[in-house]
Parts: sequence; structure tokens; C-alpha cells
Amino acid sequence: MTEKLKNLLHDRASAVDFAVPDVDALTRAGDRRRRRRAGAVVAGGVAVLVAVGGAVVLPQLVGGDDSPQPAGTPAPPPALTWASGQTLHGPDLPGGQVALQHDVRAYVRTSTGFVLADSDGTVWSLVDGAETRVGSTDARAPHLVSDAEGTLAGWLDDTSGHPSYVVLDQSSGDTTTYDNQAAGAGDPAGPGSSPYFYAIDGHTAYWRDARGAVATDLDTRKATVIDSPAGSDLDITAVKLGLIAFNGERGTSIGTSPADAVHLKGSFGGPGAFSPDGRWFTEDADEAKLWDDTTGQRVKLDLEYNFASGYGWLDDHTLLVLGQDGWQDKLAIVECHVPAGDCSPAQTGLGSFHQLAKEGFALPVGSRMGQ
Amino acid sequence: MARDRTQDKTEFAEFVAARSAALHRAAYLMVGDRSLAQDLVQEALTKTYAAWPRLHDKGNAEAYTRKAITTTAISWFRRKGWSHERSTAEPPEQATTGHADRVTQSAWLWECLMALPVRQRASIVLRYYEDLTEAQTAETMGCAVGTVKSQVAAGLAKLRQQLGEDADLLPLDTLTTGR
Repeated sequence: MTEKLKNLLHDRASAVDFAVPDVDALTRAGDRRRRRRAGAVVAGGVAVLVAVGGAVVLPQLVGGDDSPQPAGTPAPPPALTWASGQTLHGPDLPGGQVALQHDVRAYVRTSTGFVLADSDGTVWSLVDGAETRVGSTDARAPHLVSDAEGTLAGWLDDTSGHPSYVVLDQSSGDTTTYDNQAAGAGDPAGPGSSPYFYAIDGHTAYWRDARGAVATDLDTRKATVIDSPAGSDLDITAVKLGLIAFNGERGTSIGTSPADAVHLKGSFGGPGAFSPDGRWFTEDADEAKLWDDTTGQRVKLDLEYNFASGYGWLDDHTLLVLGQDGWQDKLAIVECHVPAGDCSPAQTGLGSFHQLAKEGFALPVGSRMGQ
Repeated sequence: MARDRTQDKTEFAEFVAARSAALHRAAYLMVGDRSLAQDLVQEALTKTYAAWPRLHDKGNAEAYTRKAITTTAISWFRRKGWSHERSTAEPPEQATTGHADRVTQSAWLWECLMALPVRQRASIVLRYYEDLTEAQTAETMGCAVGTVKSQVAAGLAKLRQQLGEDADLLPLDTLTTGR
């Protein structure tokens, strides 16, 4: 019985004949593609501004080579995970879960592993099941940032009374402290601007110092003012491939600077997340919201939950949504595919939000739930 | 360098001669159209040849091409909106005999398969035609293993719903594989 589907597929496939492709034509096209790749200025995705009718509109992402990567590179840690108490759960984790030595108040993912903050404010690096203490942060309201497609994660360390930004390279285990900028380059404790670590995008960190929101090249330590003054913790909510999500009075706008940022229609602002390729943006709200960053238009999602909030991405085209029907109902993690907007449960029966809040529930967004 | 390029072309030609028929068949199951399948394989093979120097183990060439076929098919359908059109289209009218002959069953299942969203169809083809594991399917589709599980389950559920009394065509045990 179970063979019938297979048999039908094989019957159908073998009923059609195909000519052998013209190898010379393929190699000529392949050679042209090699030359084009070698001459390409862009590597990976970069943001460029597109001018239409004399007006600068939303940055569009220009992809490099969309060919698949050859096999052999280590698989990144899974994107579909959640933490409860001292356990990290995920259907793609070995055995479905990892028992930790510490509780998890907040955590993030990199391409190498996970970075977690416990209730004491201790920051741990989790790589291949091994936990290593890497720093300290605010125990009451831990806040971690990372580039999920890179190896860097960061946090604010204010435990010594001298606020400093710390960046961990999880591939090497090295941490670097950024508290010694030259005069004028920013004092994170300066008047009018409390320190806040917004995001990491590749090797650029976005945080707040006395001048406002700055982008700091983590290799050269050169800082560029992005927005001044920066007044709230949500001035910048996400950054990907140079695209910045700015939070203002009208909600979220996306661009490479406040001047060129385009407002997302229907946005109320708040934390959000770009897809790995920067093409899509979701906002944390009671209703799952998704936008096409190239147009600023909403993308409709076929969801039936009373409460649903997009919070992360499985891949370039799969949004992760936390859904719940009622306050006492169990939560579900739902996958929504873009741009089609069709959704299906990826993990159900997580327990009610109320129950999980008691146990200590966390998603890989870097902050406590409800924080 | 010229010698390397000649060697590349020779190896690539041998690969194409040996595997293009199988690659075409899989592509055809994903797109349901002979001409489109040919275009798809041509594009994937061009990508494969462009990547040939980076394929240190030439034994990975077929996996690389299969991945290019799958991701390109998904991308084409997405760009052209075919996924949306097909997924929202009414399923074909169901056969009424209940125990129709095998040809009718095949045609009916084919129509239902083609009505699925491209990701669900691709995951079913990779799992049940190519006999890939969930992990291999995830690698080929460029997504997480969990996504493969949910795509296969959703696709089979839709097929089963549409097939009605002919649902025994499907691997029922797979439908109960939850997480």
C-alpha cells in the first residue's frame, strides 16, 4: 500500500523522454557565469539604493550568486528552538532537547551555536552541547543580540558600573570589550543616552552612545552616527545586510538611514526581525505582520490564531510565528511561507503562555518574553 | 589552466551523459511540464558547471544539481506566482468509481500532486521518488529538517483529503509522524 505513491511517481516520470542536453551550450553558459561571478563587485548581499522617478525608494537587496553551496560545510544550529527552565528544546536538536546547567532567561543563535543569559545575568556560550561562561549582563532585563548568519553575539555589561559593550566571536570563543573609544567616539553612559545594544549585522555593531545610535565597525572600531539623538530602546529594532529597521512615531521604517527609510504600511512599531536575505520583515505584535522590504507592502498570512506574533526565520522564505487561540490555550510555533502566505504548525502543545511564563519560557530573540 | 578547463569539460560531459535523464525525471515531477523541466535542468546544469571547480568531490555533483533544480523550481514558481495559483485552485473533480483502474488512479493522483504548493510537491518528490532522508531533503531544499517534516505532512494531508476514498494510495504511516 505504501508503495503506491512511489510507484505512481516512478511510472509518471519514466513515461516522458528527454533529449541529452547540449553540453557545449551548457559549458559556454557556465563559463560566462564564472566570468561574471569573478568580476562581480558584490559578495553576498548588499544594500543599494534604487532611484525611481527621481525619488530614492526602499533599498533593494542585490544577491550575489544564488547557486547552492557545495556540501561539506558544517550545518548551523537549528532555527526552530525554544527554552523552558534549564532545557533547550527543538525538533532538530539531538534527541529533541539539550539539558543545560543553568536556566535560560534570554538567548540568541549564531551560525555556530547559542548564547544564553541566566537569571544571575551570567552569559554562556553553548557550542556542540558544551557551555562556557563568556560574560555578564543585566540579570533583571537581559538583552542579547546576534547575527544568526554570522558568528558574533553581543551584550551590554554594566556589572562593574562602567557600561561597556561586549562582542563574542563564537567560532573562536574570543570576547572583545568596546569601552575605550577615543574622545568623541562615544561614551555609552553619556548624558541623555542610556546605553543600549541594538543589533549586530555581520561585523558591524549598532548601539547607542552619547551621540545617539552609532554603527561601529568591530574590526577597526570606527563608529558612524546613524541617528542622533536616539531616545528610546526601540530606535533601531533590527539590522540585516545594511538595512536598518527604525522605530518612530509612525511605526517602523526601513532604510540605510533615517533619511531614506520607507515606512511600512500598517506598522505600529516594536521589535522585529529581517529574513536572512533581508527581503522580508516581521514585527512583533498581537497580529503576525509581514512586509516585503522591496515595496513596503504587507504580505497577507493565512493564520487563524487569535494571538500571533512573528519573531524569527527558519530560512529566507519561512517565517516563524508564535500563535495562541486564547490565554489558557497552548501555544504553537507556526511556519509561514512567503510570499504565498500559507502557514502550518511546526510545533504544537507548548503549554499556555501563563504556564510557560512561570517555568521560564524563551525564544531566540535575545530578550525575556514580554520584556 | 587550459588543461584544467578541458578536464572540467570532460568530467562534466560524462556527468551529464550519465545523470541527465534521472535529473530530468525528477525535475518533471516537480514542475509537471516537460518543456519547463528541460529549462530547469539546463539552468541547474549551468550552475553546476559554473561551480565545478569548487566541487572538490565530483561525487557530489548530482546532489549539487538536484539542489539547484529544487531551489530553482521553488524560486521560479514563487516569482511567477504559480504556487499561489495552484494552491488555491480547486482540486480536480474526484473520480467517482472509487475503485477505478490504475490509469485513472494515476491521473487523479497526478492532478492532485500538481495542485499542491511547490514546496510541498518538491518535498514529496524528494522523499518518495528520490528516496532521500529528511536530512538530505532539507539539505536539497535549503531548509530545516522540521520544515521538510511539516511540508511532507501538509502535502500528504492535502492529497489524502482530495483523494477521499482513494486515500489508500498514500503512505498512511507518514501522516501520523508528528513532533
